[in-house]
Amino acid sequence: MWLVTFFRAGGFALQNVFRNFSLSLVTVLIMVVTVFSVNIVLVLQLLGVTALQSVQERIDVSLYLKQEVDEQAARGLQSYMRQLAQTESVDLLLRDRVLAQFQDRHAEEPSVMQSLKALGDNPFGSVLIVRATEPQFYQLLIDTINASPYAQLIEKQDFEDHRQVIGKISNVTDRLRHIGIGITLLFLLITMLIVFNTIWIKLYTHQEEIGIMKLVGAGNWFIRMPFFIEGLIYAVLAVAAALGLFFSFADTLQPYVNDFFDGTAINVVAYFSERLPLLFAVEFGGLAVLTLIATTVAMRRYLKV
Amino acid sequence: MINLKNVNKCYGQKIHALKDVSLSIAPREFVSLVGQSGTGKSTLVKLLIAEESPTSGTIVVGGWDITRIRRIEVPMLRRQIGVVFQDIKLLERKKVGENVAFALQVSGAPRSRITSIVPKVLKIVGLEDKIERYPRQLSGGEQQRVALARSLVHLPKVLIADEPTGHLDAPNTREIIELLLRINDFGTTVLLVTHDREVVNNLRKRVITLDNGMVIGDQKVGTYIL
Repeated sequence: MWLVTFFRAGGFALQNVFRNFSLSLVTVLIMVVTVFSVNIVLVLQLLGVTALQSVQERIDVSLYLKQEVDEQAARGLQSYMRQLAQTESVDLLLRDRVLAQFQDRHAEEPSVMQSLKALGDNPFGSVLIVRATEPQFYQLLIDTINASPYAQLIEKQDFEDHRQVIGKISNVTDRLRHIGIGITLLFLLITMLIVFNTIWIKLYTHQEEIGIMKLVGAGNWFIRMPFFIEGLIYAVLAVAAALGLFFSFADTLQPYVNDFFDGTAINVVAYFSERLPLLFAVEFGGLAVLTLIATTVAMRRYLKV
Repeated sequence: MINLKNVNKCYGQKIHALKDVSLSIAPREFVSLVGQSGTGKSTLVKLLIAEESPTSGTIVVGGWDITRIRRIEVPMLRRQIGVVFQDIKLLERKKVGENVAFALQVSGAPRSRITSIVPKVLKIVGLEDKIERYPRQLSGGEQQRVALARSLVHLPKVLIADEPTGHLDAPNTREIIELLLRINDFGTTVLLVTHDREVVNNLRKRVITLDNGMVIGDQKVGTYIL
């Protein structure tokens, strides 16, 4: 009985969709724009995170030791740092090696080489190159060293420069995400109003039919159900169309992403393809809830059963 | 079958549509409810099909006290009461058979029951050969017969006909009244609401007369007295 009622209500819902087809089409199109904008926000989020990871993976912190720090003291600091749980690796460049590297780098620059010669002795101190297990541990490592007796061996460290780059990328990503969320919320609101308006018009044009339904003993739920199902049909069509459109867009975007990230970046199409069932379920679920709310409000206001 | 006891219906403070109406209609009875326009006939019909609730008093239909019927119970009541109106209320986009089947579809009846009942009720009203026609391809009388067929699909205990001949010519009016009498012969209680003097006088059945919201006459074999 319930199954018969459900399928029959589904049949009426399909009739509703096709009876005022242009109105149904506009409703679905607005929903498509909403879902598409949600997907764009997801792409921005993904690219932002990828950019951050890409930068963070290339980060290491160089600790420049004072000129007078000898090899034994430098190795002592290296051992101390290796014992910390947050360190991935600690490489030591002794001051002679640092000088040699500098000379190799500036071999073609006579003025630099002359200045170096004028200084006489090796002006460089040893350098410790530290990599943390996770990017967020750098600050902790710096704080740990600064609080240790080894702090007095260190001339300077270059963590601040990296922190600023990470901060800037984070800011841009966050801002893009906030703008995307704002646009999505706006479209969600518009979608809700459009669905409300659609159902209201449908209720108005079906007044006679609804009146007859009531007269011949249709249950309240049977009268309401086709409108709910109609909303769900819109949601399914919109999510399917929006995802189709989105994957075409992602496919077009991929070469630009590869260029931007030096060919090492994530494959956007593959990333979202792997998560397609989840993506469809979440987006359909969200849109379904939205249409059910809008339909309920419209029916409460304009349908007396 | 139908019992009204001290029923009042007021709209706001000033309009008193029904005043202390009490009446009783037995099963299988054929009753004409007459009165001029605005005397409360349609209000009474609305109360009987639970479209509205009485301000006070008690209404019992088929042993069911519907005075304070819950909204969820209204569809069940309406499957027990067939109703036809002057404006017929057929769906123009549906064929005759589909219009009749519609009443069963929306009530959740299985397909087998629909395919069994629809031809039968169309045969009762003499339209079995017009099952594939659209309402616009039928005369006014035929359209009203389709509405009657639709009202019969739930095999109602009571049939309320609210001005069913209101805009029909004499031959069509006669046809509809004869059909109502046939339905009554099958055992259905019929309440004919009309202000057609000739129809009422020819019927030679019980007549209840309403005037200004009050019952002013109840004749066992009556005539139109207003």
